[in-house]
Amino acid sequence: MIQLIEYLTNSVLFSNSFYLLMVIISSALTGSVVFFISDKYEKTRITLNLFGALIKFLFLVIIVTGLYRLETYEIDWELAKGLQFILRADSLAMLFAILSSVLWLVTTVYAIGYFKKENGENNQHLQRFFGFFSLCITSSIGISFAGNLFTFLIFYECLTLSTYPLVTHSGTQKAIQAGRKYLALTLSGGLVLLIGTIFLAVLTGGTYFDQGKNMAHILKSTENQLPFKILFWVLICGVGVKTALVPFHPWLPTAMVAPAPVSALLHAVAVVKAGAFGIIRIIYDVFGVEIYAKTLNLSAPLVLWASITIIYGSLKALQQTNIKKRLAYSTVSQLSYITLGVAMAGPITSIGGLIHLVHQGLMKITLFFCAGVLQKEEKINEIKELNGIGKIMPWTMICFTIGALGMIGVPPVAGFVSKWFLATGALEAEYSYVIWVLIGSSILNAMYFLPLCYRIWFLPLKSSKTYESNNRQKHKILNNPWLYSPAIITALLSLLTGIFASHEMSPLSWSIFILTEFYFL
Amino acid sequence: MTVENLTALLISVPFIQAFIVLFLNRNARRQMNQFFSVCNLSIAGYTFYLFHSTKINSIIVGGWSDVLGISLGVNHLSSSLILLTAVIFGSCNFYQYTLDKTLSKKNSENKNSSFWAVIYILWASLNALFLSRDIFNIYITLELVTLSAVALIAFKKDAKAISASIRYLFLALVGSLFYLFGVALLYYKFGILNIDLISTTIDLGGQPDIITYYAFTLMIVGLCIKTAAFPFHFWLPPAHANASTIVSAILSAIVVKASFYLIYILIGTLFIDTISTPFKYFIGLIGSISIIWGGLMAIAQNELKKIAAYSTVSQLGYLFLFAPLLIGQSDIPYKVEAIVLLQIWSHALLKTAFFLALGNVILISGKKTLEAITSKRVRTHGKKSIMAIGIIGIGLIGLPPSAGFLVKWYLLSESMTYLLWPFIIPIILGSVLAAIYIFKILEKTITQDTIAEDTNNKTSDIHSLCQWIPLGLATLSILVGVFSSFMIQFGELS
Repeated sequence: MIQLIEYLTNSVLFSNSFYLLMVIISSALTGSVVFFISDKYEKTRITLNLFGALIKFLFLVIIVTGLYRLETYEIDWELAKGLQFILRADSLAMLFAILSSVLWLVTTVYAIGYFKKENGENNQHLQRFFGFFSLCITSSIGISFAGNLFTFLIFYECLTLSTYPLVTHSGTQKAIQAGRKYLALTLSGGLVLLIGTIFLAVLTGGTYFDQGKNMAHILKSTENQLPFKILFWVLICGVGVKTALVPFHPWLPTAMVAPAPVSALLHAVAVVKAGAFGIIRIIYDVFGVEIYAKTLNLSAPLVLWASITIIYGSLKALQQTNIKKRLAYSTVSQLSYITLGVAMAGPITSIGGLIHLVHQGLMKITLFFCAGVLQKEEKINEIKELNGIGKIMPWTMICFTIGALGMIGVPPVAGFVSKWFLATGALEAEYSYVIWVLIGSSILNAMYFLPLCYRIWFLPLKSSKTYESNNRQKHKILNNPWLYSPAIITALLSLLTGIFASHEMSPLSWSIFILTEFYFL
Repeated sequence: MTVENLTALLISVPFIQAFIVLFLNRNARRQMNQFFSVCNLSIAGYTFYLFHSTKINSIIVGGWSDVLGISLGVNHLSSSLILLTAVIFGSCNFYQYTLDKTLSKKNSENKNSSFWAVIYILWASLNALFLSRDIFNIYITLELVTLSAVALIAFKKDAKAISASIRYLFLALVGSLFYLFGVALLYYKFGILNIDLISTTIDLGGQPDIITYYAFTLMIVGLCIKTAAFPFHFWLPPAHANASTIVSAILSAIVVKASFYLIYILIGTLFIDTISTPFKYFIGLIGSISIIWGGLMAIAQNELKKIAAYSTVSQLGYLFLFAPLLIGQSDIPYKVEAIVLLQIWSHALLKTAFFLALGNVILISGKKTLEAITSKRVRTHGKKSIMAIGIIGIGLIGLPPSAGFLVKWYLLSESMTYLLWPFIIPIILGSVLAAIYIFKILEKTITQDTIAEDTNNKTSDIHSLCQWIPLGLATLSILVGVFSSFMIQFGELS
């Protein structure tokens, strides 16, 4: 017995792979426990949820400091012969993992505020909600640490399943319909990715993230490039569903029926970013920049596809009158900035793409937090109802404005930094038309976000003065800090990442660090 | 204790139990049932352990000469299936025990002593079937399995169940006769019945002759009828949907697998050279149609247990896809063995869990249709069963990390490697169809519009353990996927 304990402490506990495992297990375990905690013990559930989120963050910090000391974190488990389940903490993985865990922590706080009991809404099934919420983030973290495409696929499918009950949470007919559309698209996407992954395994004998070394070897000995080109497009279509490339995007706007915390997480990190992250992994780690851009010449069509999605999403957003729908189409457009940056395959554009992964997450989650507050507290869903709302909830609306300005690309908010790198990189990578796409989409962004800001701040509130002062009291941040503070935190973060972009701990510096590995090593 | 003695125990102990159980009263029976299943489970587990730790491929029991005697043998597949049988029977047995705790005597569906005697006979004959290494022996055990399965369905004693069981009986008898003709032809040709001996004789004889072909075709057709392959599938859904809960679970999980196991070993050992490439394609085609047809019919059903039953037809289809993968092989590659082994384990655990969970839902709500899921009582009392159905869905659709996912992975990668492109379509389509019928159920658990209780229907509260059992089995099927390297390694050995 003592030997066993010694063995555990020496080899398993507090070893590097233990930390890696704990990052994943911390939320998986709380998730599974939460399923069995009924609404009677609400406080226990909240504590457990927050505890899980904090623990996860703590272990991530340990791993980051370890990476600075050049330690390696890897778990390798042979699921079946030839099928390796690999978790590995590389620098790219950390970018996405930290983003996910920070935003999850914030969103958990927000969700607790959003589902507070005193609001007489349908607050049933909260144990289901928080359970799947935790599983959802477990899958996201799993996706970020996946060390080969097979492992990526496993968590990618888990993500689909764990978000379905969140999307359909309200249980209305509309939610069920949205759930059907969501499943139909994402499950087929998953199947396409499955076919692609198996195809990759059959072609190259494995699904490793080896930056195309193995593939380059095979491509040298064969003239026939066609199977590899087909493989690439199959894989991109598989992940393209989640990253909402046109025409695979329809699930995203319909999934808006979900409660605000879900929409926030869905649009900022969990689902859509899983797709974008998949594209990054496929281009850099499965094919490698060399094969992707030079040998197979896949860059141009993907850039075009992303550009079309950017413009299409912006145009559709302009037509929407519902706040959440407009934000949703804006996400469709903004996500493709990431794809665009990575697809152009230049070092600078890739920096733009990678940091937009973080920046878009921070800004979009702020916008959705605010939209959720509006929906919850003032029952505002339509844009025309926004008039003068800045007078009753100034703090929330300041956050909203910061997010909106960031989306347009106004300095010093984070969005500006992304667009700067994308634009300068596009010139360097000789995609001059992309500049026009970026300018066009920024104009469109301004066209669909500025009127909102105008209504919020400059138009008079329709209701009476007493209503105004009463509500102003009601919306004091301290009345429900759970609900109001998350938006402030994320808005601050998106400002800070913009202002201190050149600091060595900023997402920008981290992205540059990641990309030196892909381009210059 | 040697493996040899254990094989004898595997067959004789359940037969003795069947005899004992006849003389016990209700209470004693309930206690003894648990004791018996623990006995059988430990014998099966020990056999499995001993077999794999000694790594012997085949054992001949009883000291009879090969030509005349009853030959019994264990290989890694049969030892694994015997363990699976014990797990399934044990959990069904325990489920019934916990169910009886809460249900009144009147409600508990006439589980009298003869019912349990038949259960043990079925258990013994399944063990015997997996151990038999000669084709006539197999016929006898196959008949025993069929007859006791038919009897178990008929124990439900309502009109539907009885007509379903009679239909099952007729078809199964036809299947057995086909098989018996095949056996007779082989005996006429070779004068021996031992599988391994016939196999060597066929090998020595060079090209197999016409009689072997006929025998082979007859045997395979007979067994396909029993395994509910596509054109012969129609007996299965009414039989499995109308039996009582644990009987449905046992039939779907293990009884249909028994006849498939025979198809597999006959093709894999006896007829590996006899079977022509088009015939392998043909078996694959039958499997493909079963997958798609079963899936489509499952979607069309409104009755919960019918959905599960048609899903069995669909999932059995995946098993038949092993045949095209044997093209150009003179021995069974380990990946094919892995596919078969994993699919049998995964489906058996999933389907048992599925039928038990549905049984819970039906008992709680008092309804048999899809509507049952939306009832308020299920929402409050049946949460764990619903959770179980969710996990089962992951396995049936074949999403990671379940064993079903690995099966699909291997099937697809093997089909791609050997350029069997047509078979990719049914494999993928099967997943899509499974997703549709599973989410058709799961959607009802989320929807807002619940139905009020119908006071006329009898509803019952059930013990919470009843709900843990399907949940546990479903989780086990996921674990089989995660720890499958353990199982597949043994496949590599032989």
